[in-house]
Amino acid sequence: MRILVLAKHVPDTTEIRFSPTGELMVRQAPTKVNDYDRHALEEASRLRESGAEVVIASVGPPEAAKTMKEALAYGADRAVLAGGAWVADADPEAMAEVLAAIARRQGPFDLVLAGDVSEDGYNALVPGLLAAKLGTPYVRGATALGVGAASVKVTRLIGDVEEEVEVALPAVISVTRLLNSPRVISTMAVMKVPMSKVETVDLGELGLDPAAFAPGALSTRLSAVRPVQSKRGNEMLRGEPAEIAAELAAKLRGMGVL
Amino acid sequence: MAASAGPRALLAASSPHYVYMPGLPGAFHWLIYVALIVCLVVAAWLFNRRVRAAGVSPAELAHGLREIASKGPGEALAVVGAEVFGQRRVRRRPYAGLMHLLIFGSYGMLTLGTVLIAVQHDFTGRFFGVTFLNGNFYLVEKALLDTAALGLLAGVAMAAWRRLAIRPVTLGARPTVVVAYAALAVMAATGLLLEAMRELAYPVSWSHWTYAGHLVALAITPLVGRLNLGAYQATWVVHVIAAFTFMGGALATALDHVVLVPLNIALQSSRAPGELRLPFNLAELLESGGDLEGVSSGFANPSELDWKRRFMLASCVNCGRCEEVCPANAAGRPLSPRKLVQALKGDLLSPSDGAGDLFARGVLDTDTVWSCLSCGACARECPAFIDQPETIVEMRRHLVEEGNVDEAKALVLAQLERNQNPLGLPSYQRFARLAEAGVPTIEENPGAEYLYWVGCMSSYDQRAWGVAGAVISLLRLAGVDFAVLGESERCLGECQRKLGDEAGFQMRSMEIAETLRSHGVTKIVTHCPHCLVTLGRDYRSLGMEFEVVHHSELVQSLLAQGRLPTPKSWEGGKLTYHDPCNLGRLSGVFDAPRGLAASVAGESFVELERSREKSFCCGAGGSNYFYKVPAQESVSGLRLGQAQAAGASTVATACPFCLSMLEDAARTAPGGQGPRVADLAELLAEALGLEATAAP
Repeated sequence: MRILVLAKHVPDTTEIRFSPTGELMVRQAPTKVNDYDRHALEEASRLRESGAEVVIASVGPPEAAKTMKEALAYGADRAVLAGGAWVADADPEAMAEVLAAIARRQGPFDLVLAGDVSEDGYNALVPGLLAAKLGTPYVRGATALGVGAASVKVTRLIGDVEEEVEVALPAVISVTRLLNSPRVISTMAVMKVPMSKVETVDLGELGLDPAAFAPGALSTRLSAVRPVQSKRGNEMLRGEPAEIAAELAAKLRGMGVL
Repeated sequence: MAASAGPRALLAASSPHYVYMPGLPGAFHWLIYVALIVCLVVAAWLFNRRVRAAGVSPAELAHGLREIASKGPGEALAVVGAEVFGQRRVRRRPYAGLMHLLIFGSYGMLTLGTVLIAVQHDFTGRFFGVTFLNGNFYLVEKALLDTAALGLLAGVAMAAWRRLAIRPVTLGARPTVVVAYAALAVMAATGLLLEAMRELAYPVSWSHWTYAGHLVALAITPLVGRLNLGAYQATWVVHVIAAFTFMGGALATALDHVVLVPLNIALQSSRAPGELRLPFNLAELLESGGDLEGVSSGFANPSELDWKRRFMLASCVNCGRCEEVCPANAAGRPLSPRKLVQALKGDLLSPSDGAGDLFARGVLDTDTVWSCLSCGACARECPAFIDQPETIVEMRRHLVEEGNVDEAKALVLAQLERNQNPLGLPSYQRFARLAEAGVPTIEENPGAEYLYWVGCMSSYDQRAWGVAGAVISLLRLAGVDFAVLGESERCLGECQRKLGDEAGFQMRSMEIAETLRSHGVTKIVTHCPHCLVTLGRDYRSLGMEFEVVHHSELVQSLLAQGRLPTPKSWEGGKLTYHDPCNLGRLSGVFDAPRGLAASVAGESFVELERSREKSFCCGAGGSNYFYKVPAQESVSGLRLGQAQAAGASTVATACPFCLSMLEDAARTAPGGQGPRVADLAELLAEALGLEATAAP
């Protein structure tokens, strides 16, 4: 079995902030493997233990090579990172196009695993677009996987209903964080991954036309990012427990909560 | 007894001197030497077998000892002297201490006495005609040796009573050790009997100096008619056999510790309490560009340990002192340092079947190694100098390298990477509060005398904010020239190292040291003992030197210099002080916080029973602040209970983690709100009427 895992290099969202002038400060933020993708990497690594070959595919800036080492530390054979100046403006469509090119070049693959969404864009589009481009079925939101020789059973949680879907391979499956508990990757484990396992490719090497990825040629672009002030506050009630309870009830009634 | 009148008169008339083996054929003298050689050969064989079972070759051991000798053996000799001859740690237990002292001291004196005889008879006397076992020296020596014989009997009686009647769970009454005790007892008893028989057969005018033998002589006088030379000689043979049985056979019994423990103490003597040995130096490893494959910081099985650690595990006597003082064990966590070391020792000597690491093979449970608080109480108590906390961290490292840790611990490690603090709060919020309060950064005050290392807790934890606020107010009042790193401060990695991510810790240390050096920082003050040991000791072991003091030390010196006024009054009732493990036991800072507490509360200060070196953990050490392990009680609750039992209405501490743990325990104390818990700096600032800087 050959498995392709999509793993994205993303800034850590807990460290992203707006400057006092309202600009989004992403650049200084630490980067990492997209948390959702870690579950896909963990699942692939477990399948690799029973003989599967695992290749990681990613689109990202040059510094994403370091992130690929971290992704490889979960247990994968190699990683292919597509990069270039176009990456900064790439939309989900462009990403899926490049990933499809990687999949065709490195393929064929029986199974493509990806995190449900990426923490930076939050579009949750790339796996579905990739499936369309590869002409394979796509199931999103896996909470459990049963991978067979010719098909995969996918468990999905929709509200409080669980459904089980069986799809023929090859297929693209995006996974949720309920799928598994990714192992902890120690600093030493990352350091032990040789850089030679990360192959960097550009559009030309993938047989793609760079002109199609120029900012003007893309179908969507990020036009603005604005901070939104959420109204949150707290009020400390003081006094005897009975008084506090009465006051709290009155306030909640006043707000229409009770 | 058959003896002629001739020699009797002769001996009685002369001045006190040693008489060599009267009434025994000359061949006996040589038989002793033959027996001695046989006995030493047997002992050497047993010793070889004993250390080889632990996977240690005598050549390695010899090499290790030569290494100590070449580096200057002064420290090792001093430690071995205090611990072996002074029995420093052994004496901490009254019964076992006295027992050990009696057996060890008496046996040592008796051996020395015998050696002196051999030296006089077969060396100085034989070759130079010089004798020294004469006159008053001889008389005193004889009296001392009689005392030693009685001491040995008493010690063996105590040992037998302990093993057979008291029966502590950790001690089994194995037959071999009973034989060893019996040999000692027979040796001492026949020694006195021989003295008595000799006194009756060959009386001397000074026989009352051998007072114990003299008393035995009085007791056996009625039997004199039935005694003969044969009985005397037979007793002598029994005496010699007993002595050599013990000397040659002790290593086959639980008494092997008399050889293993002193050797282990010598091998471990140069280590600071709580210090973790470096499995590698990452900077050197990266510089050399060496292959990292096969580099590991921990151990999966005890057989992988280096010989010194294997020898260390093998020297465990199973005495249980570690278990008695272990706070995790007291709280009913699944950890007994004794059982842990015994399990590793057992697996080392005879590995259990099965594949995989020691956890997969069921030697230990992972919860056991995560229960440890790295408080160092066990290692400080261990008379054999076994380092349980380090051994535990080395197993944690293996688990982390294998990715075999649960989500809570994985999250802490991930947050350290991303947010540069274990609490997972944004790094850019670290300095927000202090910036608003106008606390100068090192950029704003370059060349400040002290860098104030605020630490993660006081940067993020609302309760611990107050500690930094109090420290800053005190530093300002005393006119101390200080600055903080501000937003570029980040976790020093103490929790990361204790969680087992050694490479991550070392990587972090290099980056932080670089930041500090780039600002020309040399002197650092911190109120967090975890930061203190990390920056002061652990970074030094990686070749990064900073002078780091704890706020209690700096504030105490400011009080002593009169740069801070002494508070006038104290209304907080009885004040006690909880020694944070990293400050007290592991850094040796005991007096400065007490001086501070006394300045604040004067006569109202009370000591806890478990204080100073014996302090009990708050429950946060060894990264335990960040995850849970199964337990029957909370360690913090137990500690708070100890403070309540001492009647304290205020518990002072000097560590933000202890503060958080104990205050939490006080909030949920049985019977309502417990005592007030506060940092010493907060109490002093309050008593001086200072507002805490940037108070919430």
